[in-house]
Amino acid sequence: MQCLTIFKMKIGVICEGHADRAVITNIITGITGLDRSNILALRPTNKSDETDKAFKNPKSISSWSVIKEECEKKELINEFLAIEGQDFVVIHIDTAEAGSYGVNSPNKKSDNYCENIRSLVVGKINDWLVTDLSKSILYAVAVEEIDAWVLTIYEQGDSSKPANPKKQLSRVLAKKDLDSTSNYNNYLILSNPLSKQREITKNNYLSYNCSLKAFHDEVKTKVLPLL
Amino acid sequence: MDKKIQEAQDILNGFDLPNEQQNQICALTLLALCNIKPSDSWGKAERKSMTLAIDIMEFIKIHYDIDYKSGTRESFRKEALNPFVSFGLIDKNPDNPTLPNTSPNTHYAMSLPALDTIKTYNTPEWQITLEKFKSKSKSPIDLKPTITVSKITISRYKSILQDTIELGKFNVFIGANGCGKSNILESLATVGAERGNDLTFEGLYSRGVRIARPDLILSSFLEDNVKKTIGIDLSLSVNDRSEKYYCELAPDNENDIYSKWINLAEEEVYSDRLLKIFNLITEQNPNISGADLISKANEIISDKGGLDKKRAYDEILSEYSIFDLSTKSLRGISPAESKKTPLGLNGEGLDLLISGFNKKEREQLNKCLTFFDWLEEIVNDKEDKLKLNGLKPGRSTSTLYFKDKYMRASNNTFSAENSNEGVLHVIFYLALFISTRTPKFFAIDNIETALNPKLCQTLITELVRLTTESRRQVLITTHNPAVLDGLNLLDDEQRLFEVYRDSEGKTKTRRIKFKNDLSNKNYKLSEMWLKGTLGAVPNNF
Repeated sequence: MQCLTIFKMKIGVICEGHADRAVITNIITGITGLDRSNILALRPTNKSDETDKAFKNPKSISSWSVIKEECEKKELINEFLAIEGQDFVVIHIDTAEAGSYGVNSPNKKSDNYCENIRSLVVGKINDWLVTDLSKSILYAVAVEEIDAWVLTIYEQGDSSKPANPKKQLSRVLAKKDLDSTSNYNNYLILSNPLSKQREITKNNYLSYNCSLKAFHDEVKTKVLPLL
Repeated sequence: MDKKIQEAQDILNGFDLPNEQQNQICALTLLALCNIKPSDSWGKAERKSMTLAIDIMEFIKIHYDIDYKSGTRESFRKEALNPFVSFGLIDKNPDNPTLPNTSPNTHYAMSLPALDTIKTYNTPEWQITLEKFKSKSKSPIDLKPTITVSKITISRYKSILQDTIELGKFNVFIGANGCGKSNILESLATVGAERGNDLTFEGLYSRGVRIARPDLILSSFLEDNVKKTIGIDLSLSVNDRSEKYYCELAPDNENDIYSKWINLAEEEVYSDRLLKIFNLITEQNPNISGADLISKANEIISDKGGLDKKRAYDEILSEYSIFDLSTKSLRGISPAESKKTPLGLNGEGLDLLISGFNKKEREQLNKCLTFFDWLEEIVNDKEDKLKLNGLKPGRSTSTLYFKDKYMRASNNTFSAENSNEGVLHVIFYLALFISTRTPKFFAIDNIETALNPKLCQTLITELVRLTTESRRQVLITTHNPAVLDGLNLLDDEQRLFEVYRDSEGKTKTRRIKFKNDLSNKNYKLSEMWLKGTLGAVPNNF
């Protein structure tokens, strides 16, 4: 513990968007007791300057291609892991576009679809990384979209089934008169129950989405022993 | 008479003694020990053993007509005699070196090397003998103990509800605007004011603290039942000995911006100390009357300089200040806002300090020439003659000038008023780290102001070197990534800290340190900071 008081643990997050980071942050802080300020945004960040943004296609920023690029280059990951107290990097990717990044989607109707596609995407991330960094990577693979993890809070039922969880979440939230804007601050509020262990257990959130449970287990088994 | 005292002060200044050792008491002590009366020339100086109470104070009374009371003896010892001994100006008990410390026969005499030097004062040989003496004697900065604040725990100070920082010798703090970096620096300035018995609006302000109403200085986070005191806990190493210091500061009026602050931790022990003194006196004088007991106690307290417990590190902590440079102050064109000497907090007094530099200090300062490819020479026009040649418009009080090597010799001298601002900032920092008269423990807020990134890197490396050489400890804040590239984080004395506010807004600090294996390090700290892998950047956009 002495070590941690001096080199307070920080976890880096490479994800597709800021709203995704909000959900991931709530989950990690809920399990580990770390403060939100201990979760660092690695991507998306301002990696590009305004000239780059004007020159490049804006669509190339904050998407699965960014995740692939970071995994292949490993620059951010290695830099982050070089510092004391920085032992984990979350890599988040949605499976909605798995076909685009070379993962053949298994049959959606099969019983183990969620587990199977998650496993295939984790394998793809490891292929991109080449070297084995599995001890330091927290795989946040969201089946379809991370919105499906948030959906578990607002709709009881298998949230890995809807083809478009974002739209589904939006509809459900609208019925409850809640704002569904996809940004960091709003998703931090919407996914706040995922930071409360008692709520998670009481409402069985993890039982509604296997990829959410898998990420939860990943954080528990890898991070908790170091705290 | 006054002229002789001034000459004695000039001699002490020539010996590079700190300002505190150039006051009237010190000057008169020197005159007494040299047996110089108002009409004597310094060539008549002689070595004579003298006690403080009988000889030195009597000499001053007879020849300089100043009758110091017996209660000032401690001031003579503390301000003059003890530092003079440490500096090698005088010898203690030369006629009987085995005398116990408390002996009433304790006596002092000028050391022979100092006496030979002083005899040449007001002669052409003075500068030569002075340099010779100084080259063989200890530097005044060596007289001060070497202290290192190894750990600080700050409680309830502005945005810091509670935080502990383990410091090295050269400490750099980075973080988003408003994260609380300056609050860390200010908490130490508050300790400095406390140790300097100066916990007032002026005492805090003169050390660089941004003053607010006490209820704003005390942390007021909504969900915490906040104690109405600031707590600061230090672990120090004083000449390699471990020491602890704790203060608990309370304002005497929470709503008054000019409030005085009281150290409750000290107040609590005053009564115990007083009781001990009474016990000691009554043990030695069982039949002493009440009036005599109080009179005797007063004498002892006065001799000890009060009831405050004096510590070896008081002076160094008391000198701690936060420097935050302003180009206008460096140029000498804004009124001196900071009265601090020898260097003001905003850059005041730079020309004066440099004008008193000895040869070695001057050589070190000339390192500046390597930082600016156009800079040929730093000129200190003590008599301000260049002003008359029209080299400055006249608004500036600074006597510093810079020669540009690319320009014609007849037309290449720029005054501080219209020179490049970067060179002024760099010279200030070098002077601050080089001079024997500047604090041994201090902070610099926003060191990068006016400096090119590459210059920042090189300057930091040089300042780290000077910190080690002059046995200082410094705390620095910056927003310029290039500053980080001047640090060697494999050296445990060079430390980098991320300052951030947690989800409840409380300021926290984390040391940034590399893991052991750096074989794959292909990146500079500056790049890592910009990419966000060190933290210390805003997270919300």
